[in-house]
Order: sequence, then structure tokens, then C-alpha cells
Amino acid sequence: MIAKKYLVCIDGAWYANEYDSRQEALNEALRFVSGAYPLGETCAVKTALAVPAADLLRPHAADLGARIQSTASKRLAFHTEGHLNLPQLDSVQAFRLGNLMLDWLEANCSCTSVGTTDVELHECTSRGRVES
Amino acid sequence: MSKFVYSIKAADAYQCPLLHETREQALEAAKKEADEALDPSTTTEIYTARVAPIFDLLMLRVPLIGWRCGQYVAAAAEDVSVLDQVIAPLTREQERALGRHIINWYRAHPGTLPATGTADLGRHTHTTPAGAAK
Repeated sequence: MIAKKYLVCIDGAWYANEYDSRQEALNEALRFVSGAYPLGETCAVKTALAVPAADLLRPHAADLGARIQSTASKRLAFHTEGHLNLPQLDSVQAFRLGNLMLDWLEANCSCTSVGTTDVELHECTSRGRVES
Repeated sequence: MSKFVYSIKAADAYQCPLLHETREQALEAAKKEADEALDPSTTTEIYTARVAPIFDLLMLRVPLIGWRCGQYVAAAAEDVSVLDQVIAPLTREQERALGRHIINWYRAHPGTLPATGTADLGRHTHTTPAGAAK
């Protein structure tokens, strides 16, 4: 099982470093803010769970599969001047087709290694105090 | 070897299931049927088309299908990630490869596509002989 990793975002910029816990990510962000920002200045810090990009999209597999089917059907109708459309896929087929695409992307594309989810917003000051 | 079918656009257009060796043969068969079935001096449209496996028809659209897949992923990623780019835009070669991969999935899953479709449609206008018996 892959350990959970966390990312931080400071004033809108996401950083590539990964941390083993949300608290560790937040602490690192506070250290950075304390050193780089004028004393007392407030900034927005986000922490988020890092997950593989393809996994992030898995919950959308059925919808992606249905969209692919719709595209294929439209292309076929165009090619046959409207004489032929494809039958709709059932939900299981659509799910499998969407996952097939995600598998392919994972294996063949330069996917960003992680996406983010479960984002939390923290308001920080250069004194390092976490407001929320 | 290509086969051809025809359809006659009358009150209800329908496609005759008989296969013909050439487009010309399909057209002649359609004209003969129109002469026998339609009123005298009726002008109708006849379509002839090549019969082809659906996979072959969709293969012609592989780059576009792959490109669309990339668009769908980008849209889905916007909903679930705060990062601007979860999966990099596909190159043209990647789009073609993904499109082929998708079509091959259909090929491996009978029932997701009809067996055959028609392509290379030819449109012809035909008028039945005046006074010909219905």
C-alpha cells in the first residue's frame, strides 16, 4: 500500500515537495512563510492529499466511458451521413471503457505523478500562527 | 471484397438487406424495385453504399476520438484537482494511439457495436417510367 503524501500551496503556488502527513506539510509551509514573508503578514496556505493522477479520475470512469461512446457514435453518424448510430453502453461497459482509457493514459502519457484532493485552507502569518 | 447495398427514399426510407457486388448492380436493383413499387412518374432518391465493418468505419476517426478523450480527461481533472494540469495534453501520435486502443476495445467486446455499417454513400435520383404499372 502506498503511503499517503501531502502537498502544500502558498499564495496560489503549489510546491512539488511531498510530506508524510498534513501536519508536517503545514509545518513546512509555516517555516517557509516565517522566513520569506515580512513579520505579521498573512497568507493563504492550502494542504492537500496527493494521489496518482489516474486514480484521481477513476471515480469518473463511467462518465468518461459514456462520453467516449457518444463521441464514437457521433463520428460514425457523420461518416455514414446519419444512417448509423451506436447503441448506448450499459453502465458496466461504460465503466470498463473509461477505465481502459485511464489505464492507457497512465501507461503511455507523461501524467503528472500526483493530483490533489481533500484540500484544506489555512490562514497563516509570518509568526507561524495557524488561524484555521 | 467490398459489397454494396441500396436504399430507396420513399414514404419510409429503408435499406434492402441484399448485398451486391458493385455499386452499379445495387443501383440497377434499386431502380428496378422503384419501378415496380412506386407510382408512375414518381421521382425518388436512391442511395447506394459500401458495406463495411463498423470497426473499419471508426478507425477512420481514430485521431479525433483520441483527441476527444484527452479533452474529457482534462475536463474531469478540473473537477477533482486543484492542479492546472493533471495529465499533459496528448501529442498527435498519442491521440491516434489512444483512439486505436479505444476502437480495439470495441472490437474485443461483441455487442457494443453493430456488425456492419455503410460508407461511401452515393446519392442518385430516379424517376419511374410514365404509365408503368404499379
